[in-house]
Amino acid sequence: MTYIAKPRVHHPSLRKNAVGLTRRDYEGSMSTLCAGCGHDSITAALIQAFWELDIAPHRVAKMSGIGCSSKTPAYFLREAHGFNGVHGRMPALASGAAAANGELTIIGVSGDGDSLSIGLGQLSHAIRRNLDMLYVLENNGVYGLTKGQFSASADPGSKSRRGEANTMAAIDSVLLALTLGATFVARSFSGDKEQLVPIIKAGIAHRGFAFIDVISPCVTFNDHEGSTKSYAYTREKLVEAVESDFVPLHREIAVHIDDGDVRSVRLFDGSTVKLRKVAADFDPTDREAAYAYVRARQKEGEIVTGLLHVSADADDMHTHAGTVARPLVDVPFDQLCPGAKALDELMAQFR
Amino acid sequence: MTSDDILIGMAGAGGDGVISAGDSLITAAALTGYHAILTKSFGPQIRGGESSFKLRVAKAEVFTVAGTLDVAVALNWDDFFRFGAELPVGPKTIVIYEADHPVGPEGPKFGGVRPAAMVPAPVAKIAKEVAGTEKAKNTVVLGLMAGWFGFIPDALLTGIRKKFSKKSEDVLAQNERAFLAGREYAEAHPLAEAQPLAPLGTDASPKILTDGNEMCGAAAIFAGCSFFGGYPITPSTEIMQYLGRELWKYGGVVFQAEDEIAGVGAVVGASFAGKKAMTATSGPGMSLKSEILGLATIAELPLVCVNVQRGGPSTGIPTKSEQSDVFQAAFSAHGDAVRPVLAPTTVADMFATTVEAFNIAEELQTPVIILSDGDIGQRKEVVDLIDTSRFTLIERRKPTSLELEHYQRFAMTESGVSPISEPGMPGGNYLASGIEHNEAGAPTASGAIHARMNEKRIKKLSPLKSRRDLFEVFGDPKAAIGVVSWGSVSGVAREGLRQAEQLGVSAKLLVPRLIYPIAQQVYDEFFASLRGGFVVEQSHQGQLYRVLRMYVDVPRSVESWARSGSNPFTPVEIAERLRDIAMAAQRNQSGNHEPAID
Ligand SMILES: Cc1ncc(C[n+]2csc(CCOP(=O)(O)OP(=O)(O)O)c2C)c(N)n1
Ligand code: SF4
Ligand SMILES: [Mg+2]
Repeated sequence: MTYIAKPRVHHPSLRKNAVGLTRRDYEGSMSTLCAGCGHDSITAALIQAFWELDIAPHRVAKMSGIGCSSKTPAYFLREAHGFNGVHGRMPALASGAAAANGELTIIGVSGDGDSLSIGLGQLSHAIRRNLDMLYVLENNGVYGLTKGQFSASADPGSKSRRGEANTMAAIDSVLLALTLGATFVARSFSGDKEQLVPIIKAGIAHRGFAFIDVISPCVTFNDHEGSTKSYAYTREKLVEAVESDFVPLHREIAVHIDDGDVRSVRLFDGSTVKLRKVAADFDPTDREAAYAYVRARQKEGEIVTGLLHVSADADDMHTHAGTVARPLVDVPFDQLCPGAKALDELMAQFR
Repeated sequence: MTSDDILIGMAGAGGDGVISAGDSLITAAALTGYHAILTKSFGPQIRGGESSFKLRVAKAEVFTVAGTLDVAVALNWDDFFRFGAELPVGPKTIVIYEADHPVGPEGPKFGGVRPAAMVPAPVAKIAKEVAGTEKAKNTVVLGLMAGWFGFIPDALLTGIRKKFSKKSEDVLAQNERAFLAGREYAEAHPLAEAQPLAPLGTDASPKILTDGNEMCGAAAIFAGCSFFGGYPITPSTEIMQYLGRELWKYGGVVFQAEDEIAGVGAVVGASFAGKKAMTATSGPGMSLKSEILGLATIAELPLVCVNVQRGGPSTGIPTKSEQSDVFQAAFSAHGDAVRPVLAPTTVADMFATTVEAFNIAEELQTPVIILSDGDIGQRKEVVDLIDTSRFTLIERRKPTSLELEHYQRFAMTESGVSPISEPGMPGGNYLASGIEHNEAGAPTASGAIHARMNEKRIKKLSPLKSRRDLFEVFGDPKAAIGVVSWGSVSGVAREGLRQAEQLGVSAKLLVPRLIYPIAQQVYDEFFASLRGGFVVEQSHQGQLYRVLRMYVDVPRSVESWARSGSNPFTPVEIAERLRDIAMAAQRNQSGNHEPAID
C-alpha cells in the first residue's frame, strides 16, 4: 500500500478561507481506493466542510482503525495529525487523545466492519461517554479491504457478488446510536454531497459525539444487483426526513432551505443548524419519535437520511470526567509533575 | 530473651475482626519504626467469610512472610485449618486459641508436629465481660499480644484511640477496656516460652505503611504521568483506585474503560497527544492488551503497562501471586517486537521501578512492561520513606523548530530515537500508524524500509543491556555457588542467602530488575565463577531460566528451581539447598581429581 503525493501547485486566484488557506490545502495525498468508491466522495465532503469552517488543520487529529474507509484520513487534511490504529479500536485512541487535549478537533473515520463487527463495543462506549468528536462510519455492508465478506451491517437477503444471500439480521448503526443515547445522529449518502457537507459541519460544531452513518457503496464488492448497499439501490430507497443547513456563529450565510417548517437548533459553540422537516410526521429533537420513524420507514424498505436527532446540551466526556479546561498538553511538565514536596504529602497518607 | 523478628498468624470467622487486628498490629509497628509485612487471606466468599493474616515484625528489613509461625492465634479451629499450609505451625510455634473451642485429648492436627506451647485464652469471655460484646474479641487479642509479646502497647493503644474515636465514645471506651483486660490477663498468666519483641533504639528512622500497588500509583504521579486508562482486575485494581483518588489533584485524568483493550488504547491515544500515560492490569487483561501494545511499539509511543501477575492461565488463581508471565511479557507481540520488561524486587522498589519504567518509555519511545506480582502489589509493608532526591525524570525528545521545518517523525538517527511531535504542534503533523512506515510516517510495504525500521526500533533499546544499575548482586561476588531470582521471590532468596551465610556457605545472588531484553554480559560475568546454583522462580516452567538459555550460555550446573504459584518458597528451603550444593561440591572436590573441562 502506498500513498501517492499530489503536486501542491496553487493557482494564485484560488479562494482563501478565514485562516488564509485554499480548499486544496485541505486535501491529502492521492487516493489509492478503487475508482468510484463511495469513501472518496466522503473524503471530498470532509475537505469541503473543514475548509468552509476555517479550521486550522494542525488543530485536527484524524483517527481511524483499519479498512479501506480507515485509510481515507490520508486523503484529506494533509497538515493535520493522524492516527491509523488497529482494527476496531479507534474510539479508545480518540478517547485518550481527547482527554489529553480537549481543544483538538477530533474526527474519526471508520467502516461498518471496524465499527459494527470488531469495534462494536468501543463504538458503544464512545457514544455512552459522549466523547467529543465527529465519527463518520463509511457504511458499505462489506469488509472491503479483505475482499468483500459480509459485515454486520449487511441486510438480510442482500446478495454477495457471488450470489449468496446474507441470512443474519443487520445491526443498524443509526438505531443503535439512537438507543444508546447518542447526542447527534445522522445518516447520509456518499452520493449526496449537498446533504452531507452541512451535516458534517454541524457534527464538528456539536459538543459531544456526532455520529454520521454514510452509505458508501463499495464498487468492487457490493455494487451489483441484489445488494442493498449499491448506488442504484440506495438512490432508489432513500428518503430524506430533514434538510439541514449549518450556520456558523460568525457568518450569517444565506440559508437555501425554504422557510416554512424550519427549526433552528443552537449548537454548543453558538452556531446553529437549521432543520426543515421534509416528512411531516418527523421531529429531530425527539429521540423516540426519530427512532420510531426510522424503524417504520425501514419496514417499508426505505432508508431515511438527514440529521435525524440532535440534543445539543448534553454533558460530554470532559464534563463527565471533570477534565481540566486547559488541555493537558499545554500544562507545563513541572506543573503536572508535582515533585518531591507533593510526594511528601502523599507519603504522609501512608504514615 | 527477646526476639528481633516475630512472625504471627491469626485466623477466625467472618465478623471476628481478624483483618482489622492485623491492620492495627502493622500500624503500631509502622508508628514505632519497625519493619513489617502483612498479608491477608480470605475464604472464597466475596464478603463475610473466614479470614486470616500473617504478620512479620522485625528490627531489620525483611522480605517475606513465608515460613513457620512464631505465634499462631486461632479464634476457632475450623477456620484456622481452612487456611492449611498458609499458617504453618512448627515445633517452635506458640499456639494461642479461643478457650471456647478446646482441643480434644489427641490435640489439634498439626501434621504430627508438637508446638512449643498450646495456650487457651478466654477471648470471647473477656470481651463480653468488659466490653459487653463479642465484637471486641480482636481488641482482646491485641491486649494479649501486648502482654505476652511486648507488642508495642503504647502504639497499639494510640491506634485503637485513633480508630474508634471516629465512632462513639461508648465504642471507644469498650475497646480500651478490652485491650487493657487482654493485657492484664496475659500478665496474670505469664508464658514462659514467649520471646517478646526487642525494643527499638531511639534512632529508628520514620517509616511509611504502604503496598506495591500504591507505590506504583504514587511513583506514576511523581514521574509526571497525567493519564491512566484501565479496567479493574485483581490484583492490580488498587493502582487504578489509588490514582482515581489522587491523580486529578495534579491535573491528570483516570479513565475507566469498558475493557482492557480500550484502557490501553486510550493510553496510546494520550501518549500520541503528548502525555506520559500508564495502564495496569493482570493476566487476562494483559492478554487483551497484546495487540495494542504492538501498536505502541511500531508507532514508537511511550507508555507504561503494569502487569501485577497472578496465577494463570486464564482466570487461574486471581488471589495468588505467580511469576508466570515472563514469556508473555517478552514475546506476546506478533512481529519482530522487542519491548523492555522491568520487575520490582520489593514494595518500596515498586516506586523506583515505576519511575524507571517511565524514564525508559519516554527516552526510548517504547511501551515498557512492569512485571509486578500479587505479593508485591498487595502485601502491606512498612518501608523507609522514599528518597526522591535520587531520581531524575526523563521527558521525550521533542522536535526543535529547525527539525519541524522538514519534520520526519521516524527520522533515522544514530540512537534510533527520533524527535516526537504531538497534535497541535504546527509543522509536526505526521501519521502515527500500526502499518509499517517510512521516515516521514507514510505507509510502505518496501522490504528494505521494513528491515531498516525493525533495526531502528530494536537498536534503540540496546543501551538498556549495559545498564548495570538495573541489576543487584548480593553476597560474595567470587562465590562458586550462585542464585538468580527476581520479583518478590528475590526477597525470599535474599533472606535464604543470609541464612546460608550463617550456616557457613559462601554464595551469591543476582537480582535483575531488567528482565528483557536479556543483558547477556551481566549474566556471563555472574555465571563465570559458578560451579553450582539455580534460578529460583514462581512459575511451573521456570520461565526466566528458559529465556536466559535463549541468550546466555547458562552453565549446566545452574539449574532451574521452579514452582507454580500459591506454593511459596521459604528462606529456609533456599538456604538448605545452597548448603546441599556446597556440600556436594566439597565431596566432588575431594573425590574427583579430574580437571574440570569447560
Ligand atoms: C484484529 C484484526 N482482525 C482482522 C483484520 C483484517 N481486516 C482488516 S480491515 C477488515 C474489515 C474492514 O471492513 P470495514 O471496516 O467495513 O472497512 P471497509 O474496507 O469496508 O471500508 C478486516 C477484517 C485486522 N486488520 N485486524
Ligand atoms: S474495495 Fe470497496 S471499499 Fe475498498 S476501495 Fe475498493 S470500492 Fe472502496
Ligand atoms: Mg465496510
